[in-house]
Amino acid sequence: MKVLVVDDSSITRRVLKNILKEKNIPESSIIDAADGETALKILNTQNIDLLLVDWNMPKLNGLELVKIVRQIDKYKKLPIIMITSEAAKYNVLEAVKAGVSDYIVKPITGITVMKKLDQYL
Amino acid sequence: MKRKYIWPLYGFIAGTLFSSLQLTMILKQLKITQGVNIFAFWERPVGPIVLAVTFFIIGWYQDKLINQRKQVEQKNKELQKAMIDQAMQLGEELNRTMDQLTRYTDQLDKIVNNINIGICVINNEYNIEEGFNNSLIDIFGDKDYLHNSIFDTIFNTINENQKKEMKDFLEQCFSNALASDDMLSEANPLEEFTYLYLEKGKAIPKTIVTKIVRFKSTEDEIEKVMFLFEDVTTERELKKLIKQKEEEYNRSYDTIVSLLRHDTQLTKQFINELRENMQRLKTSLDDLKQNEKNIELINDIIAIVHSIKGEAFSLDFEKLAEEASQFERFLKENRNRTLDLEMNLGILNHYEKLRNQSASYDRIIENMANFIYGEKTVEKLLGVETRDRTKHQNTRDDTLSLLEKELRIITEKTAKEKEKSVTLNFEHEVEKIDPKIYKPLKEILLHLIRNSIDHGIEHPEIRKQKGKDESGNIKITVKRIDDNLVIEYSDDGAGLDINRIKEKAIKEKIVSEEEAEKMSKAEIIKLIFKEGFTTSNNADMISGTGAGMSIVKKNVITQLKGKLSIFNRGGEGFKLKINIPS
Repeated sequence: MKVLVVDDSSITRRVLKNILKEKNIPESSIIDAADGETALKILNTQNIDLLLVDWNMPKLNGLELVKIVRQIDKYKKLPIIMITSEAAKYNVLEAVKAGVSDYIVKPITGITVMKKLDQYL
Repeated sequence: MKRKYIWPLYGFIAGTLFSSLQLTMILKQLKITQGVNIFAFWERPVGPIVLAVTFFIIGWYQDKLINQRKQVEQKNKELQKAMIDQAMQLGEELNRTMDQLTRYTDQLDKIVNNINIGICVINNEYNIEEGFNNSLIDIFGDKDYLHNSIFDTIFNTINENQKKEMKDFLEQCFSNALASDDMLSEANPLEEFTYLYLEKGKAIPKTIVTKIVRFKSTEDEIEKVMFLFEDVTTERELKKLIKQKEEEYNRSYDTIVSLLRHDTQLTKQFINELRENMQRLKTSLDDLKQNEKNIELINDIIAIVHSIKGEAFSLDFEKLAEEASQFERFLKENRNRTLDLEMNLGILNHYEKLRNQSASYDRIIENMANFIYGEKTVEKLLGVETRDRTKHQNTRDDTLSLLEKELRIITEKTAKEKEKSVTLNFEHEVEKIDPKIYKPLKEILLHLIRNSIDHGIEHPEIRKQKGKDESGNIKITVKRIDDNLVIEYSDDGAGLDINRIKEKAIKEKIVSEEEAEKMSKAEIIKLIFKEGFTTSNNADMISGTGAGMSIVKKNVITQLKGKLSIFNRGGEGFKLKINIPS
């Protein structure tokens, strides 16, 4: 089980990594990236089983990243959880259209993230 | 008797008969029959014995067969019986199961039809399938739901834009199996929507909350979407009611706090003045005539409302100040309109709000009076008689000490609001003043102070840069010289900015550009007394609605028949002298 965490905030990345560790995912299986382009490179070279991604990021934003990832054959059914502060209805629908599987609204708390992760781990 | 015994006997007899017959026939043929007993079986024993044995075997065998057949029959019978038993058992079990199933279905029906959640399932063409419940009919009315589009039945009262959004959303519900139901529920544009329920030709709005659950096929494709609708109209109404009550309670609480916060004399004076102002306001509004343009009267009304706003603000009657402020803004924006229906309604609406607010003070004071005196006499508590104030002798303390108190409160409050530091220096040789002068004078000074703090006195850092004290100073002196009351007002702020006044006057169309160019500095300064002049960009609670300085002028000249002179001291501050004949 390999998890990729993509967020431009190092604090959010650290929080998410800690939550994943709590869920018994070894540190070696958690990979992180600070922007969409780096994430895409990792996705292309490795086999990722779960993607946690922020919406607003430099270079390639989360939504664009998800759209590209869904075009890749091996990731047609990859669980993608978007973590974002964009909570308006049309934003959520936009995420659905891009191919996001689930959605967590910031500010994130351990409980909400864990509950969501339980459905995918 | 068993066959295996009978058959050999028959065999033996038959054998004997046969042997004898055979022998007799042989003897007859040989013609030697005498002396021979044809039945003497011992003479020829083999045939009968063989036959008897053969027959015995046949009998025995037949007996065995019969026995076997009997056994098989017996077994068959047993088997049949067992089968019947089993079938019966199965039947009973089936009956029991059917009963249970019927009970379950009944129960399910009861549950589904008695919960107040409307349920229906739609296919990928958005048509409603079998299995919607009674609650759906209760919520949306009795219609042809089955096989009809959800947009023609349930979503038939939403607007086109909502319909478009919903179709977009449903398309995703069916096409995007990857997205979770939770996420889709959050994206649902009609998570809460208003449905117009038709009852006897009348449309009753209902607040409906929607949830969706999707049914997946084995290939992980979305086959159906189930809709759950809950009518939350009553809950929402109750919530609104609770909120209203809460606001009402908070308002009363604020009012009580405001009433008790300040010096009793000040509060009493405020309430009395408020009542007078409301009375004046009512009279002025009554004078307004339909479909006429009366800018004079509107300006008078603006001045009264402005005055209410200022006083309410200075004594922290925030709600009242807010209502008055909105009223003033409305009047200012529509100053030049004829009094058409819309304008009339607007004025009435604002006046009602203001009146309700001021009446709420009276109610609370009434209750307080009742609490203290055991009777609902507002007047007793306020210490005044309800006569026209201009006619009666002063029963209140219209003293300059009281005025000082009030001016200090407004100075402190305004300075805090504007994040400035200001010290008020109030010197007066006289104590008692004519009640006719008291109120206009107070209004003048309040406006001047607000203007000084808002526009004149700089922020502490800027003052420091300019080499001034960080804290600004306002000085007011009241003297009696001969028969005149002389009031000197000054601050040590930035003074009047001639260029800015010119710019604003042109922008507010008080003068034209050409006119402004020809004007002297003194003439330009006088522009600040024109109606509608303001140098502040935003109208707020403190000043900036343009009614400020014009009121000062009006009060001094029209009401007090006095004189007013203004001194511009450049960057040294602002100074004004008022001369009132008494």
